[in-house]
Amino acid sequence: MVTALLKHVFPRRVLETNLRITYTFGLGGLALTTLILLFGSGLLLLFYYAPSPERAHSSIQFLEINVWGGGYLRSLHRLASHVLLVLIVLHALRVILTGAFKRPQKLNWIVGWLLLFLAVFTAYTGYLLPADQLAYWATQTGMELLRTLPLGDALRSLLVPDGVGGPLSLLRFYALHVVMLPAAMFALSMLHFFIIRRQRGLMPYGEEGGYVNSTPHLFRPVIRGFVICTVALLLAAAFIPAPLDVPADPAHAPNPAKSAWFLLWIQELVSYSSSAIYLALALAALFVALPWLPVPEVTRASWFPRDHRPVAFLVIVMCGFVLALTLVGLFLRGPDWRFVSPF
Amino acid sequence: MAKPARSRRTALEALILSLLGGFGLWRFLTPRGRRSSREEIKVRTTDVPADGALVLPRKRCAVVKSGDSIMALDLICPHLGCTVNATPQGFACPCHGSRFKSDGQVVTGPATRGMTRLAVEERDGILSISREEG
Repeated sequence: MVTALLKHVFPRRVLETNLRITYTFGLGGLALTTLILLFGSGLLLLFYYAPSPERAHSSIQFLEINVWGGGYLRSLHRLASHVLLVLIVLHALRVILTGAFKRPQKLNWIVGWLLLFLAVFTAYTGYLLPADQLAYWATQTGMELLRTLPLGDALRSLLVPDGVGGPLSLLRFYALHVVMLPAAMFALSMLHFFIIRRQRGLMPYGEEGGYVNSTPHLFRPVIRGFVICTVALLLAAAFIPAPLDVPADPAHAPNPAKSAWFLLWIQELVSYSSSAIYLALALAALFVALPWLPVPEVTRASWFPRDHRPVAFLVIVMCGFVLALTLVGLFLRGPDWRFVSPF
Repeated sequence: MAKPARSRRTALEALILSLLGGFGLWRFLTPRGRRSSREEIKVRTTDVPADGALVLPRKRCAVVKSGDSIMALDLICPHLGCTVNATPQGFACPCHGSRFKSDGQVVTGPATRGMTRLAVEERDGILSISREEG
């Protein structure tokens, strides 16, 4: 029954050439696998987490110390959330660099962007939940960043009505993190796959070729990817433990106070000037608007299509820029946000 | 596109409903009276070292004395609201690297204005510092 239902989300028949691993690298499917792992591990974490400022940190400590597999589960959840962000970005890059972002994929492009936004937002709200120093200050710097935007103050009062350490704010982040955002992500990712089905599969890749049945030609690699991704994450989580800092202390900021790595590039950017936040917004807007830019349409997907060279160049430069800012923020910033040597 | 009048009506209905819903949700999510708008901090004048500063991290303020003049500085960074740290030279922000002199003036950005001065009143050897919260 469930298998039959799931099968309806995918196309019934697929182009044989589209199944080549070098076309999609299965990035979208791997992202879905990671999302499912996040749902599973998150559901189990619900049994122990207490969403109040007094008890949040101690409930995580209890999970780490007294619960068999508790620490492992938290590591898995954290690792999977980071991997999901990376996979979504790589998947978006694949779509852009194979020329598949133009018509008729525009609607799915928007859904994809919503999914990336939701993934970042979910990761951000999850960052606060352990209520340790790391969590508190990363959230604090993010919220102050929000204030620089138009309507930022209003949004801030909506998200953290009693300040970042307050009980209402923690409860709000919790509600968003465990119900609203995952539900939206699940619905949108199903829609994301369903739109592909409605469009009779992905944009055709490579030379002309015939269709094959999804069972087993699509589902076999999908299930294989699912298993490999799951096993890899389960193994990696054993070696990459999730950190737990001392309880949040609003009086003493760690020095330097860094936001979550996926937002660090913005923090690095605004450390030059607060108006640089508009540069970040412009970059994001440019990415979203990509299908509407005057770029010729391609009818068949291929890596780096000739007509799309300027787009590919632009996107790679922008990604390099964001990556460079992230690395500077991660490794080259020390106390008082001064430059330090990473060695 | 076959029935423009009808689709316009549907769009209008959707617009009105989402505006009403959005307004209700907004009101629901912004509760009243969660914190007081004015905060008063009291310290003894003798606690402030001569030509030095008394830092109250929990209250996010510092009382600075140079010669006879006393002033209170808000430790909330005027750039993006992190809490600045006291250093031997003045104050430094751990989030974006702004630096300030001990009287609150900007030494290096990204902050574009100095630290906020809080109102101080001295009476019978007690300093009252007040902060209006936004």
